Amino acid sequence: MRNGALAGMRVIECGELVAAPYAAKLLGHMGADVAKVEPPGGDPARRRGPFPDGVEDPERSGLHLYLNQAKRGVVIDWESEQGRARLLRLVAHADAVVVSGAPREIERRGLTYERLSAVNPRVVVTTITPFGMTGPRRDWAATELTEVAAGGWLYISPGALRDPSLPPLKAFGQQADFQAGVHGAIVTLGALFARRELGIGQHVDVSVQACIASNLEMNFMHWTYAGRVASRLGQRAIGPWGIIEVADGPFFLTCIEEDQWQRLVEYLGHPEWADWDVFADRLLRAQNGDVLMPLIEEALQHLTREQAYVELQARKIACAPVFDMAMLRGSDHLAARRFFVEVDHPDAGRLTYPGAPFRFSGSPWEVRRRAPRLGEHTEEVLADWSAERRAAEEAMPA
Amino acid sequence: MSGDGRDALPLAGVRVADFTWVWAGPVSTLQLALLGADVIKVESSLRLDTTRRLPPWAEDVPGANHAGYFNQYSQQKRSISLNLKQPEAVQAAKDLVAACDVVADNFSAGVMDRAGLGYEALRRVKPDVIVVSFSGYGATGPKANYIAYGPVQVPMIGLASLSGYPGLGPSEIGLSYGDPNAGLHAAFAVLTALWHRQETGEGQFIDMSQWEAAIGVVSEAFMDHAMNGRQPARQGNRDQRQAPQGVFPAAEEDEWVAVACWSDEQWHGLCAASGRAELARDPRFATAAARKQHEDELEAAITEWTRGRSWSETVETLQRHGVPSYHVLSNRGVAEDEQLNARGVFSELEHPEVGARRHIGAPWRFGTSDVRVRRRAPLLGEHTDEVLRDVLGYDAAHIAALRACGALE
Repeated sequence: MRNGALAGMRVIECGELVAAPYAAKLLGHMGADVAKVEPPGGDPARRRGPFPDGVEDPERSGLHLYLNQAKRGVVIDWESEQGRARLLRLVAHADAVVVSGAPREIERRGLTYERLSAVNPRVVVTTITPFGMTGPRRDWAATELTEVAAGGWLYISPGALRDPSLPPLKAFGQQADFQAGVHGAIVTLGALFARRELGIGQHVDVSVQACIASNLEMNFMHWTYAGRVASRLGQRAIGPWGIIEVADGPFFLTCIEEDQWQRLVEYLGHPEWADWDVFADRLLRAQNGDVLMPLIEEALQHLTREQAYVELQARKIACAPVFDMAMLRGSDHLAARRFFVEVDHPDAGRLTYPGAPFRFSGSPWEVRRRAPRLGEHTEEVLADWSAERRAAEEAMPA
Repeated sequence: MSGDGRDALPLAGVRVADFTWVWAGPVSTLQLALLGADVIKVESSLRLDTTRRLPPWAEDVPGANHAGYFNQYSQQKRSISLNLKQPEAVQAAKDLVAACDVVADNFSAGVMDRAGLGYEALRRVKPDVIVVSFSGYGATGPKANYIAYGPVQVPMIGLASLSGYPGLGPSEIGLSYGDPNAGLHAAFAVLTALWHRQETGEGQFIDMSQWEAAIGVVSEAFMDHAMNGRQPARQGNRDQRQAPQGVFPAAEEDEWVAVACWSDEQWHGLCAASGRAELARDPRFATAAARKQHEDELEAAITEWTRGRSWSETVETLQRHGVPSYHVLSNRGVAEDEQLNARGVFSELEHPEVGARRHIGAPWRFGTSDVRVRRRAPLLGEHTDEVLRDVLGYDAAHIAALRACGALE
């Protein structure tokens, strides 16, 4: 019985924070043997938190504990000859190396395809960098905020903003790096498929900026098809649409199609709204959202979020409560699907984590391993990988 | 098409029956198409893909083949038109699946089953088929039949509760973000299942809930709740731990510059760049924690500096000092961005109805495999005959009969 869809695949992750670690996490949960390589000071995610009771501890950072499940931990001192040699010994046995960070630092550490393929021509090297490894701005300094600015997402967020003195708004967290991380996992597998034909690995160069630019919905084509700049202000093309307050908190609803709108006004006891000229179609309802959304809000005042959710969904109207973290953990639906997983950790204890992003009928996602302590498996991985290689070679007929 | 050894396309020889529509599904099959799979989009003139019915249109002239939204996310795919209300069309869809490796759909749970195209039915025509089905809530659970368009995902996954201007309510974030996130996760899942099939000969069914695919992206906040029972406060453009970080006004009307310091070195760079060397020695700003405490003062000082300069001067000065900063690019700014252009990110193939328009191509570059957009988005049903003939092996009489009974509408 194989242990996962990617059983037997060996991946080295040299990442920090989110991008490469998320790519490697996806691979690890599906069965790849992932060695997370960190410098002696550890991945900065270990210093980022959140921490239990706010007390900093590199083994108890929530972001690290989530992102680095399904991996073993290896420490490499990039500044020492011995450290770099040790990395190359791992590379000799690896199928892929997934790297993120600044291009100059990646090159300084020798994590380029040119250098690594000299040790193992079959290795795939995926780099995930803010602007890619080429181009006039490849060495520009960047963080999450500047990446979403450079990719064109920030300018259009939050959308339909009433107060133009407010700046463009970043989404919470490190979304650019998460998306680039999924891209990194996709192309790493892609290059491993290509290896079947090529017989050798290759470099895949992922630009976070380009990943974000490829995710702009219809907004990019507003410029290239119709010469219009789309911004955080503007207005929606569809109404009703937006967040309102019901009895116990914020609630989102929208009617994309006409039949949904008809069912909404009937449920609200105001079928006459559908006859008003100002609400004649979804564009007009968007333009007159100032009038419409307060009307809907008033008509739903007597319901809790859960009641409104059940009642409107029964009428096939797209809506949901604005879930906060407590509501996610309390969701009956997610509980019935056993989405959340409980994982023990010697330092952080037993905690609830987000679980499988997809369910495979034949080769399932599994937690496999808690996040490693810093350097916990340095010797073990090296020994395992060389021993397995030797065993495989000995098993081969002469 | 793929298969030419010199191109070394990762998915050469893989064929996908693509029943997806709107945004999430087409994002997933676009990744597979860019990697070299032959993606055949199944659509119908009787129930047009939503993205064929939404603006922007080329030169504001509406039309199913004029829609920028569709043409962006359908690059590199072929289109076959089938009216799945007709049993003859359902048979053709099954014959298509028999010639495919992967089937993708993002209908609500149960729709494919009712059309006679559920996993069990498809397995009978293609035993090792990989089927990925992504609905808002997944195929099981008490709310499996709830509907969830992309915009509903942002509130559902907790991201709206975490995003927003300080003092104001929860906020949307400008995109139906749950859609591309689900599409990319689904593409990864399909590649993984293809790998498994290559090793074992087994296909499988992948049940993807768009909701579940997206909760990981708020893990930083989720873990705070798991550890401390706490919901992080909305902080606008500020970071939870690092400071300063914000979006600041440039001298030009409604132009903005994003600036962030995630290390002491970057902070010192910002002080030097803005001619405020004394701030670098000020104990109020000596560490990230101290800067976080005095964020209001810091942001006021930075605003005063950025307001007096063009965005380009600010960004260039900051980057010279190693400070993360970028002009907040509009769609036009993206199309004209020097870095994206230098990397050849855009595709601009001639299209018979809209001409050569700029789209975003693959956001990654392969060192050896010749991965790039080779084919513009298809016209509605453009490849119906070609696919029925070459992939399904139907003869002209068979195709004519299908057309006559309305199965190809």
